[in-house]
Amino acid sequence: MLARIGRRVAFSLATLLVIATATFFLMHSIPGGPFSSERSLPPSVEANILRRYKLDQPVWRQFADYMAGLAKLDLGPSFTSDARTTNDIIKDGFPKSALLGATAFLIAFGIGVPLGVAAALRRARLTDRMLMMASVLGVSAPSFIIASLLQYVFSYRWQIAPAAGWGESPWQVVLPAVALAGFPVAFVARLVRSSMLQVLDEDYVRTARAKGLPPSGVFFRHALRNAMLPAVTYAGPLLAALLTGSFVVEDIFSIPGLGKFFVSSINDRDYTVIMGVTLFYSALLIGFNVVVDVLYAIIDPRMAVAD
Amino acid sequence: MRLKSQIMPRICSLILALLAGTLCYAAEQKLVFNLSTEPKSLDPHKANGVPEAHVILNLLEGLTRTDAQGNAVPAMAEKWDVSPDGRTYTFTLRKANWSNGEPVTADDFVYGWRHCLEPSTAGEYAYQLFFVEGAEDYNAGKSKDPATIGVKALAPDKLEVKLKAPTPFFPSVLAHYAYSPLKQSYVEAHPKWASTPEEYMVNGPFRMAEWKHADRLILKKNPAYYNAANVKLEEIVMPMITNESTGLMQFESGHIDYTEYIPLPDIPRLQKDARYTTAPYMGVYYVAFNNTRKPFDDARVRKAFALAVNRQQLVSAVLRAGQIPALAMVPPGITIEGGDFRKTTGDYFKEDVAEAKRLLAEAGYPGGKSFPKVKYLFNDMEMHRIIGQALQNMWLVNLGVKVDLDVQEWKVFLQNRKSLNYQMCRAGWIGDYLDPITFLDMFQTSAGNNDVGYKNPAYDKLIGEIQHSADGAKRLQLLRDAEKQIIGTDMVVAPLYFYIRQWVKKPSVQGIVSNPLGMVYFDKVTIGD
Repeated sequence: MLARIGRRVAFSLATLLVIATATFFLMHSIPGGPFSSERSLPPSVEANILRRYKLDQPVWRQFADYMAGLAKLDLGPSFTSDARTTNDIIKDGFPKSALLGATAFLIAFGIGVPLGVAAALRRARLTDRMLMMASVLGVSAPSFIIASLLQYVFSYRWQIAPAAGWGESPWQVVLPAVALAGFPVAFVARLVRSSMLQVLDEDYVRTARAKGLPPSGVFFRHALRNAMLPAVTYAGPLLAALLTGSFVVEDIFSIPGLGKFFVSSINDRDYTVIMGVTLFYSALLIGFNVVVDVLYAIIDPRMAVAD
Repeated sequence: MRLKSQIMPRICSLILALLAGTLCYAAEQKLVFNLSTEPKSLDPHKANGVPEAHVILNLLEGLTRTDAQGNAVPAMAEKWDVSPDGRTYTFTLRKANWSNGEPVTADDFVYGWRHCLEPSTAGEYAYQLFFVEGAEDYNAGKSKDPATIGVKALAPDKLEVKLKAPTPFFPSVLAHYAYSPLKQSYVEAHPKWASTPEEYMVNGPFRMAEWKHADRLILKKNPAYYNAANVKLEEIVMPMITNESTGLMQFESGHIDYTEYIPLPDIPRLQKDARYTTAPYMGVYYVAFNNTRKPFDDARVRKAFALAVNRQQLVSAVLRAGQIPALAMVPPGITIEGGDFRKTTGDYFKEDVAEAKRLLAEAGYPGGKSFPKVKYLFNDMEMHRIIGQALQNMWLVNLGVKVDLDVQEWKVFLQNRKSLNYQMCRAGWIGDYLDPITFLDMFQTSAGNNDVGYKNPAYDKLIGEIQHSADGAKRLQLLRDAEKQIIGTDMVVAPLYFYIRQWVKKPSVQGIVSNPLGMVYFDKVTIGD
């Protein structure tokens, strides 16, 4: 088991290195730079700025400098903020995005799993049909529609929640988290329902029933545990995506999180921030996948044996 | 009886306190202003951009500031004298203090400007100081000696500035925050002063109280400001709401008092609302032609395209916010030699479909026949798209020319426009100061912003003469000649409309001073009932 984890970690670091290299050269190949604007700058002014940010160096040199900084976990200055470095931007933004994301994650699993189970147990009946219809809505409505709708109802019509901001009212967490959770709730419910239906038809469930185990024992000890596997697979990437924030939802609710930088940094050609948020997200994603692997082994002992 | 005598005064004072409390509350002097985005920097010599200006202009005060028309009024400078050749200004400073109690002196300006020009500061707005003798060379590293910059402290309250050329509008240029003073001893002792609210030293009406990055900035009244007795506003909260719809919703639900960021689709609805206001802005929106490539290397074709646009329809049916149709390059609102330049000068052409068709036929494309395939390029924004579609339709109907629309991402667009890799594209220009030259000098052959490939030695000479002219009447005539050359004669671009500013504001907020250059001052604000 330990060897397995060790191998995974080494492999993960190599993956990160590849991502860093690919991102660096890709972003430098997009036309335009961080300091181009409607008005072009006089040559001396532009030269001073490029020198300050070392953009006058050849790209390979910039890459070498960047990787040397990265080894010390220094993600460099931001080209769009004099007051904050890339590390500061992540440090400031991530906790806020993560709080929203974790809340959305809890909603997704706390509501999605019971709904999926309920639908499976009442297969083809009214409850099932209603739930699955609602889930189609959840899967297909983009988060900005849900966000705008929540904002319109709670902030504009009823005026019980502020439409924007952070840190003044619990609504400022609840509304964006619900908007973020829309898709995953529905998706988790559908996943759990279908795998539950499959599992309930398996021989070992029938055997457990035949042995005379009480229905709750069959359900929790045998069926649910196995039915959770696809949902757990999905949980890793979902958690990474939710914790690092969403551009759309953070923009609509004006949340000082990390999500907006995934888009704004590219629009601004803020090279160091592009690198910073990409690597941060990749590290989380890879990290959670390792965790999911370990969880697999716990949930499904066959995995550990196969190892 | 004893009890009563004890209780009555208490009740009375309680009632009085409550009354005072409600009175104070009713007129709480606090303004909530949507800043829209996180400032890139609040160091006056590294910053650039609109939100930055809104904050810095209310924290730091230069030699002058601007009034509601954009004209210079005394600020840290009480008065100034100009030499007969228009190149030497001597400023007399008023008695004023920094927020740490030290006096504002002429040396603070010398140091501040040098800091702005220092190559290692690498500020984008260093070029705002290039009117000053020796400034550009110092910024370019051609001179390492700061004494070669034409700014000198003659006495603690006397500052002498030598200019490269006579610059009649120099006092209004000085209102730009790039010209802010700094106290050398303080700045060197506090290298992170500009990003630390409690260290941010000010000489203006407000001080920085809090900066929550990407979330909100809070300014509070600066009691050390020389005119603090006349500043009624105690606090300015500046949330950074980038999403325009969210900002407007926050306004309509009473959470913010003032926002300039209004979504396009909401404008027709708001025009019936008394809280919505528009005002002129020093900017012009135009179609740039690539003057170096067929078919737009022919002035007749450029004119035909310019004359075939119905600007009134464009502003009233498409943009709908009261923009002003533009038949010239320089917007109204610039007073020169006692009159408004635009009004006293008039226009250079008339919209005329028949004439446009005639010109196009003369250029060899009667009725648009055999006209090469052309594209109109713009960056990906809703407003540019609808303008592009309206133009496309007008050119098709009026000239018989089918123009394709081409959308590009902002920075890709900029790069293509800069390298003349386009046929026609959208462009906009915002003036830096109130003088027509800021809308004309970019079409010189070597100008960094000449994105249309216009080359005309006679025009270059004209601009050179304007830049060295100290005679007001002659200079005015030269300015008119220059504008006539690029629009009336050569139509290097097709002006479409002059910009406006717009905002929604709670009726209780009074005294925000803003001007056509987009500067906003809060020191005269009062919050009524």
